[in-house]
Amino acid sequence: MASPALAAVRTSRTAPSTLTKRAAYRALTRRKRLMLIGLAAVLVGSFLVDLTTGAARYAIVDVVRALVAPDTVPAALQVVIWEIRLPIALMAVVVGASLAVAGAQMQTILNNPLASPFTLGISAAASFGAALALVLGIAIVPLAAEVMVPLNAFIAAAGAALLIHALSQRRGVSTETVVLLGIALVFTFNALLSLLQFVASEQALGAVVFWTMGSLTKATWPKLWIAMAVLCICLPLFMRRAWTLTALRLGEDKAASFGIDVRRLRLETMLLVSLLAAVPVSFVGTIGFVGLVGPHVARMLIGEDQRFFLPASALAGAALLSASSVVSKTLIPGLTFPISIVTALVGVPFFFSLILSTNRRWRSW
Amino acid sequence: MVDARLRPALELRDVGVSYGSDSSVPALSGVTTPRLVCGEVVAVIGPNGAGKSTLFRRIAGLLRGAGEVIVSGGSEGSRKRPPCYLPQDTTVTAVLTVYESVLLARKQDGQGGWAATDEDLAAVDGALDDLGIGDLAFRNLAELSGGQRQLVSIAQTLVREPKILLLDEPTSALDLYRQVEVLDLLKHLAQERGICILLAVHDLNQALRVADRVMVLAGGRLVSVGDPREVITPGLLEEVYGVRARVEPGGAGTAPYVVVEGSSRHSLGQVASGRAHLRAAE
Repeated sequence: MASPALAAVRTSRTAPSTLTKRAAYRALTRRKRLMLIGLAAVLVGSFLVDLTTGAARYAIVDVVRALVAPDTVPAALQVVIWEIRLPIALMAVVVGASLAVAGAQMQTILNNPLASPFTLGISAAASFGAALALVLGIAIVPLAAEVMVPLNAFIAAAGAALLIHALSQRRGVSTETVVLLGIALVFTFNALLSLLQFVASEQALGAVVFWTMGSLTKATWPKLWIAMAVLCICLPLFMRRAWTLTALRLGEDKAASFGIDVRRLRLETMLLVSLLAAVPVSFVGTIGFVGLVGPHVARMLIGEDQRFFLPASALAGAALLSASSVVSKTLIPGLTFPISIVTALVGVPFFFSLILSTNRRWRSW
Repeated sequence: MVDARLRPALELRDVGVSYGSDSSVPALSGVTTPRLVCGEVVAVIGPNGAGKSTLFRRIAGLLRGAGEVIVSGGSEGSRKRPPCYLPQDTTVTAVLTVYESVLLARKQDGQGGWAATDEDLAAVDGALDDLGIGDLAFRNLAELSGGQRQLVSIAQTLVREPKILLLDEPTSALDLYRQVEVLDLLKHLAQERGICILLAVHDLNQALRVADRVMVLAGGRLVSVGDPREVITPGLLEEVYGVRARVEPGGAGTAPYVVVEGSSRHSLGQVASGRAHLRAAE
């Protein structure tokens, strides 16, 4: 109960009643759940369209039938869907979700809207690692030849992520400095990549260029299972920490005052992010903008309560890459564009429109 | 039965903090207080750089250092409910509503699991209503003024049902009316809920009006502690702040107040050297 003076002041205000506030909050969470369902519906639609498009076009009904009852469709359709298109379409979903969640968490722990695997040099490091294998045949960890390229990419990406983390932990280093270091890493790895391209044979050069442009056509079922397993491990770990990760966005001091071990939370999150960002990149090459745009779309639609923001980021990133996959196949019939070109062509104008949009609710960075 | 409001809440024994590698110039040293009890409001005053924020961060466990912080009779490591600390800077860029941000503070203790329970929502409603900011509940944090953000930050600490509350200049961005309102509310909550509130303030008249006890810091040391009417004297104001002032006794039902007459030193440099002298004398 408040003091008489305060009570007198409060009665003159038009504050919503307690029940109204509680009801409004419940309505807000309901709207967020509906938004998640909407995003999931967009993703499912995009995924199905992705399965219908390619060298031969199929009706959605036939595709659905091939998925749920493979024995009832012609063998050719069954093979095309299950052996060729399904791993690629699912890889688009998994990679899009992974990159967007990685971007969302990088933006959260570094408190910077420009953070993403692409902008902080993690993708560039992965490209350089892959090029080392493709051009010079150097394996950072000597293992079987078939995993040399993805393993090199993963190790280089994880190294870049840990370097960024190590710097962010130094006393007096601001989040702006961390982003500047990320930009420096992008330039450094791109320069090293150019050097490798300069000395590469014609055959190796083609492989490097194709790899750096990103391609979902490299997807196979074993690679897909690995990427999916990484996402299925990391996402629940992030979701378990939804309240503490959201608190980080209130500022480091305030999060620490809530009893959160901020340094430990940042380190653990960065390790998971490096895994989440590096594994997909090591399988399908460099894919930009999804890790940057996906979280921003989610933030715009749903805010930053991580209980909703994380799944929304995953769904938005997955839908964005799935839609990009469709566009890459339909832009010029019979030709599949490298996916990274499409994500940039789709992502950049979309990102501009977000930045210039009149909805200021999410533009508070 | 012992009055809950008289239960010991906090005691500092020879507490100190040094930043960086240079421990010869500590930001805080040798701070020893009497036993502070539940239900009292303690104003922590002192010039800029005196060590108020450092002291609060040390008590909250955000800084390590010498000495012992004894909370609710237990040792520092074994305390169950750590002090709630409200930092000075309340700037925030998160895309969250006020309601969500206060609920978020509530959920940090890990109670009630992942979902928001009715009890959580009732606590959030109560904190917003106590501070009279229910009408801001579904505004985005980034849209708020500095003063509104301070009120939301106070709500974020109250919703955690603290036993010890450390508020670092909680009213610095508020207008005079809101300052009086918020400080009165804090005083009321301290007594009603048995919260020990430490309040860093620059306005000495507010300290004289609401505080049960005052702690004076200068140069990282505790200069004086006790009843505000006995501690805040013209001599102390000249020594610590470098100002000539008199303390009027106030009337029936009104607190004493400070009337500043002028600076007793000619430059900020002299004030600084005065503080250095004070530190050396200790």
